[in-house]
Formats: sequence, C-alpha cells, structure tokens
Amino acid sequence: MNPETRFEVNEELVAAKVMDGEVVMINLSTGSYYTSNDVTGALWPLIEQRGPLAAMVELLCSRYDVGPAQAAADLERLLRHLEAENIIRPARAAVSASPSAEGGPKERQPYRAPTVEVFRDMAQLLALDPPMPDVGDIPWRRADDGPRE
Amino acid sequence: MRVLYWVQRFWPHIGGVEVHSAQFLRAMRERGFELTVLTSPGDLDLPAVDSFEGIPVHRMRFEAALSSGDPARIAGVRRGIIALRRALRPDLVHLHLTDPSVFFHLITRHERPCPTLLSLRVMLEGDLDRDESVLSKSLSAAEWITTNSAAVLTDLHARRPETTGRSSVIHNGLEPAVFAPTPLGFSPPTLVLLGRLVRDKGFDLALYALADVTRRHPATRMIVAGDGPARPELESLIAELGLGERVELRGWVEPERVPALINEATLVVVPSRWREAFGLVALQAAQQARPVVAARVGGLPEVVTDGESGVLFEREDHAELARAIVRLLDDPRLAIRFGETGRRLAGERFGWEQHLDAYGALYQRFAGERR
Repeated sequence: MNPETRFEVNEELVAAKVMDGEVVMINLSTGSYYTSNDVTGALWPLIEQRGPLAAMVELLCSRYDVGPAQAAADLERLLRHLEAENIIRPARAAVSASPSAEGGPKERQPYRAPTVEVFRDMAQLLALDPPMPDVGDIPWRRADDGPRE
Repeated sequence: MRVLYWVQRFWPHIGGVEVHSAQFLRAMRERGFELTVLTSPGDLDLPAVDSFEGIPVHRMRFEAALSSGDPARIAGVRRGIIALRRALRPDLVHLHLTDPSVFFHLITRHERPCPTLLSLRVMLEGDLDRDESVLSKSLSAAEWITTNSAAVLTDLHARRPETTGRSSVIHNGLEPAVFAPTPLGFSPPTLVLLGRLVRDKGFDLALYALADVTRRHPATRMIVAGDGPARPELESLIAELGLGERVELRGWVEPERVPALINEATLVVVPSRWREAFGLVALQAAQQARPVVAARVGGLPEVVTDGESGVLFEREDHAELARAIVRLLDDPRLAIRFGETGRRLAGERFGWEQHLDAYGALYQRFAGERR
C-alpha cells in the first residue's frame, strides 16, 4: 500500500452503520456480522469516502496518541482484513478530491489499534430459534405463536 | 448482588423455559439476589420496561434486529443494552445458549464488565469449529459454563476442550409436584408420550412398538400429548398399523395438567432419536412414580436409571422398545417398584433446592468475587 492507496465499501454486499463511534457491518452475501472498536469507527467515514491511506494516517495521528509508522502499519492490517472479508475493495473510480478527516478533539486520545470483530454464525443461530428444545419439549402452548415446532 | 438474567423468552410467554425462569427467579430473589431480566418480546406487543412480581424486566427486539440485516437496528439495540448496563451495573450476567442475542452481550460486555455465567441446556449444535462464531466466542467469554447433564458437559469438553476446568453440571430440578402420584393402573395398560410431534422425538417408533405389545397385552392403549408438524405422518401410521382405537392424540396440554396426565400412565415412553440434553419428561414421570422406558441417548440415562427406575433401549430399535414395555406390563410389581425408585431418585438427584443451591453458589462465587 502507498499513501495514495484508496478503498471503497463493497456496497452491493455490505450494510454498515456508525453509531456511538463504532461501526456495525453486515456482509449480506455471507451473513457475517462485524463490530468495530472506536478507532475503526473514527476511520469509517474516510473509508466510505474512498479517502487515501495518507488521510487516514493523518486522522489517526491527529486524534490519537500514535505515530505515523505505527498508524500506517495498523491501518494496513485493518484494510487487508476488511478486503479479505469483502467489506471493502480497491477503489475503482477516480476520486476528484481527497476527503480530509473531520476535526477531532483538540487533545489526543489514548490509541488502540483499529480492529473489527467478526461473527460468522448468526444465520445458523437464528435458525435454531426457538432455543432449548429440551426444557421446551413439554407440550405447553406458547403464548405468541401457537404450537411449537 | 445484582444479576442480569438474560434469556430469550420470558413471561408472559408460556413454555418450559419461561416457566422455569419464572420459578427460578422467584426463588433466587428469596435468597437475596437482586435480579433484572433482559429478554425479547418475541412476536408479542409488550412494553420495553415491565415488572414481573417486582422483578424488573427489560425487553429488546434482539431477533428482529439481527434478522433485519440492518446495521442501524443492531446498533440501536446495542445502544439500549449499553444504557441498561450503565444503569444496572450488574455484578454478574447469566446467559443461556443457544440464544442468538448473546451476540449483543459479546459486543457490549466491555461496558461495565463483569463475570459471565453461561448455561447450556441443549446439545450444542452449530459452529463450534471456528473461533469466530458467536457460539465459540460465547464459550470463550464465559467465566463459568453450566450444563444440565453430564452428557452435554462431555460433548462440550470434546468439542471445546478449553472449557474443561471452568464448567460443571447443574441438573434440571423440579419443584415438588402439586399432584400426588396415583397408583399405577394396568386396566387397561396405558402408555403416555409427551412432546412436540417432530420426527426426532421418535413417536413413530412407539407406534410400531405398540403394535407388537398389543399381541401380548391386547388392551394396551397410548396417549400422545403434544402437537407439531409430524402429526399427519403419525395419523397415517396409526391408521396403517390399525391402532386407531388404541391411540389418542390428545394435542397440547396446559402446564398445570401435565402431572395429572402422567398420572394416567402405567408407564411413560421417551423414544427420542435425537440426543436429548436432559429429558425433563422422564423426570416428570419419575416424580409421579411412573416407570420410564427411554432411548439410550443424550442425558436420558442420567434421568432414567436402567433396571432401577426404568428400562433403556437402543435408539431407533422399536423391537427392543416393545420388549421393554412388555417386560414391565408382564410384571406389575416390577413396574411399581421402578416407579417408586424413580420417584425417590428424582427427589434425591433432581431436587429444586439442590438446583437453586448450585446456582446460588456460582452466583456468590463469581459476583461475590467482584464485590
């Protein structure tokens, strides 16, 4: 990766939302769910805007207590992970201007490497509903939906 | 000591899990624990904040958010849980698998972190091979895991060896029966089966066995309580085997009627194909002093002591099932003795107070460490 490397969100496959500083992502093709820490949450708008790696490094260094080398290394690891998960892909379209990071707090915050956590079996778990067949196997009528299967 | 009791369904839903949770929470509150329930409204229109006999109940639409594929809804539920955790400041979170809402615990546990107790009441199905599954992460994140039978614990240790050393069995317990057992009746011999009408329950095997049994005990009849998708197949099989006069498909039975239903039985049959985690029907039968004929699967051998409180047969072997039934019908004294032994063992091994004591000790151990 170089400072001008850009990615874009794989919008056909991915739904994502930043709330309370963290990103929730779903890969709709695989059914995998992702959550992030706050540092990835801070980066996400730049990723969505196809911002270059240099802008992301700048954002991290301005907002968090981290140097550019460490920030670049952590960013590369994060972006490779997201790419491997098909959340992002190399940007296809040219970008006319480089988006810059929104101004962060004046004081730099403690730094944690940007991460996402993946949960792969949500569809399977949802399919197991209702749970606990053992204790639910007495033929008691459920109040919500009549006979259990 | 504040405990966040997290369960997929709760009152006013009515089912085995829900009834157990209500009884459990009532009893644990009497033991001094300060409990808050976090659950889902399911398909009902229920208030987000409620009270069950003075126990706070918070409802969030976990499954709807997860099923929606909408990260905004998921993030919204997460926000609600974080607010609850901040307000409640729990000393312990008590979770149950395989509830998909454990996902929300995993993504909010950094907020007011506290020990997690995870209860397993099923043979674990699903993705345990990958560390990135919700199931695997839930098991990894738990300070302690309880299972409701040694069979489930053995299975857990085989599939996730790292849980050995932080897991234990707490058998299901039953409150003392409201209905006293009635004497076993043999005129006519009556076989009772309870459960959802699904193939895994093996009720078709019991019908084949009944056809054999009636050659020796022609008056034998069968009551099947429950309903489900396999009902048409069972009806066809009943007709095919010429058992229409002998088999009553009674449909659903209200919880308070289950002991009275079991009192109609000469013996109770649990012919499951799948590995029952525990076998609550077998325990209810024992509580009513009924001998049990059960498949040798999952946790059933822990509830039914072969040759003492009932007879175990090999899974799917309806001929052996028939022989076991005939053995007990041939020898009423043996059947009565098995029933009485079962009742005694049920009290000794599966008492409600023991169940509560075991959970109370874990609550104290983990939440107490934190205080």
